[in-house]
Amino acid sequence: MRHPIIMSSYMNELPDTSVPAGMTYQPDMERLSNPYGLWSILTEIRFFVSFAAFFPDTPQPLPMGGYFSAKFTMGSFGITNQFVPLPMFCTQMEEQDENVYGFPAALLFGAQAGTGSYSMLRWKLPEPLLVPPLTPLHCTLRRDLADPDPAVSAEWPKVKIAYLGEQLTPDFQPPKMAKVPYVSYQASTSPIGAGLSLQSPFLVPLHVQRLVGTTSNTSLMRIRDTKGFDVVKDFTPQGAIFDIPRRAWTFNRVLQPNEAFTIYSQPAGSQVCLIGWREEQYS
Amino acid sequence: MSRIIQPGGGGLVLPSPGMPAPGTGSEPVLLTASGVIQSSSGATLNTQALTNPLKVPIEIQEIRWQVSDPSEDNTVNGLSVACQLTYGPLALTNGYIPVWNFGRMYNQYEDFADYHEYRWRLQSPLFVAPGGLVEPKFQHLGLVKEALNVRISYLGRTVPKHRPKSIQVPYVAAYLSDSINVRAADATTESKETDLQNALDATIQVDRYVGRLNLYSLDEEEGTVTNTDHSALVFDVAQFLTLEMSDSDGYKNIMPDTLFWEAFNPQFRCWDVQHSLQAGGFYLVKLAYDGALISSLAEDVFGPSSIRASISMVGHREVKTS
Repeated sequence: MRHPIIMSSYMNELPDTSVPAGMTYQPDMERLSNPYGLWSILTEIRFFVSFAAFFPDTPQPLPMGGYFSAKFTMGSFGITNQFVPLPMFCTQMEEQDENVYGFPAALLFGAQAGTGSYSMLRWKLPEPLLVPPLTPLHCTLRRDLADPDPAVSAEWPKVKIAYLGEQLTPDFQPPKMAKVPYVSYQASTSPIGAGLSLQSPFLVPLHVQRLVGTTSNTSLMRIRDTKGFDVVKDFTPQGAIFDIPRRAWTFNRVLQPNEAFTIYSQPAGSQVCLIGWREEQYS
Repeated sequence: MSRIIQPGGGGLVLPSPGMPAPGTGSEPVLLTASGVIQSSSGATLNTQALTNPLKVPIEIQEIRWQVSDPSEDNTVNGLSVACQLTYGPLALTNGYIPVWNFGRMYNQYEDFADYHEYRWRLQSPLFVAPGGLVEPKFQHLGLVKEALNVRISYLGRTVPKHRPKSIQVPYVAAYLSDSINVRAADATTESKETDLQNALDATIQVDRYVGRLNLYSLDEEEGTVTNTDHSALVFDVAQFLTLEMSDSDGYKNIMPDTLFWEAFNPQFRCWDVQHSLQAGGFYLVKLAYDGALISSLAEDVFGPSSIRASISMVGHREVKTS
């Protein structure tokens, strides 16, 4: 019999001084591993980002998810190609951003002045991930954005991560092959000529679930695959490719080994994420 | 009787038993009833309006509740009223369930100008024979002293006359926590074995857990009450609320120090699972809250406020009809 499980990290405690962008943080992997030493199936990953600060005149820095990116590996299996900004894992509908009073800023600056922001993001994996007992899904988090003015910040962004899924019975025998999610993220400030390449790095087919992007209508984008097929033929506003309510384009496409989507943007600067899965050998 | 149809694209499709073939006249059906419930009292509605009036069976696919305060003095929500459902001798609930604990939240469109609506899309449609009744009973949970209006609606479709060998019947159980003062430091509260319990004599398939959090605030000057589950204040308070959960097989299901929002994400307020819970099986939930930071704040930020969590398990089981 399977038993549901949620494993969550502690909230990280970054130092209360200016933290440079690029600093990495390692969640406590013991808390993100099955406590009984059982095989697990992960179906969702949830991120909780919190920031309490005092911003008297400036807009709130939403969404907070943009303050962090995450990299996942599981043993020798790559789950992400590099650090991926948290909002790029999920559609807009899986993200919630809130402005609130914020603690302890409220105590330092007065209840009405202290404000905070939370972003809660949910990545429902394209396929459940089978996790061996001694090889947990390893996560590294990275600060991406620089701090706001330290003079008005009471607390630095914090992040908490949770794995949701099921734990399998002690007598579970893993299959020979199982599906493993994959996320490929690319960002560039390159001009049109140098396109971004969302490539399948595997020797097996990569099943694409969706592309996640941004919804700016001032930035144009076209997409071509390595066979020369124009997926998006003309330069098109990103908001038309990644529709505004969802920030994503979900479709069904299989990339063969070394196939890729090439993204051209105009003006320069774009970020795109490919989410999919492939099969890997477990035993 | 199933028949072979030939769609335009060619090939033969044999409809599964109970599925109406295209063109056989499956019609949408909505049954509804409403009433008034006095504070802290129970009520039944017009059951005749909810009885299947047709000569053919229907399948209920969705149940909706609307709650409103006719005095318009207070803000109410899905924790203000609880509902118990039975279909003949079959229990659909383990006692009374807050009406927002049946279904997932759909894009937060629950609160309208003068009423609040909660939807429950059933995992499997519920077969109701001609003349059959899914009977609701309501309980006003006493969060406000005024009487409340409540409406329940069954949405579904007609199906061809047949007698299935078995039907899928939903089952919901809930735990309503003690109220916790938002200024309390180190408060804990936990469920009993009989709260989130499979009280049936058959195994149920649990499809999801739903977690809701209510912030109750009393305006002492006006004497009015606000109940909300998605204001900025709720999100602020909720960061100090963690939970853990274990099941009757001894497994931890939610590890300690998991935030309430991590288990029941704000977009949907639920966690979808697949868990077989045997007869008599149960979950135990422990909530821990530390409002020490809030207690340092000026009184006028929160006023006299308390939070209360309601957590449910929503599932179904197969029932033989012969």
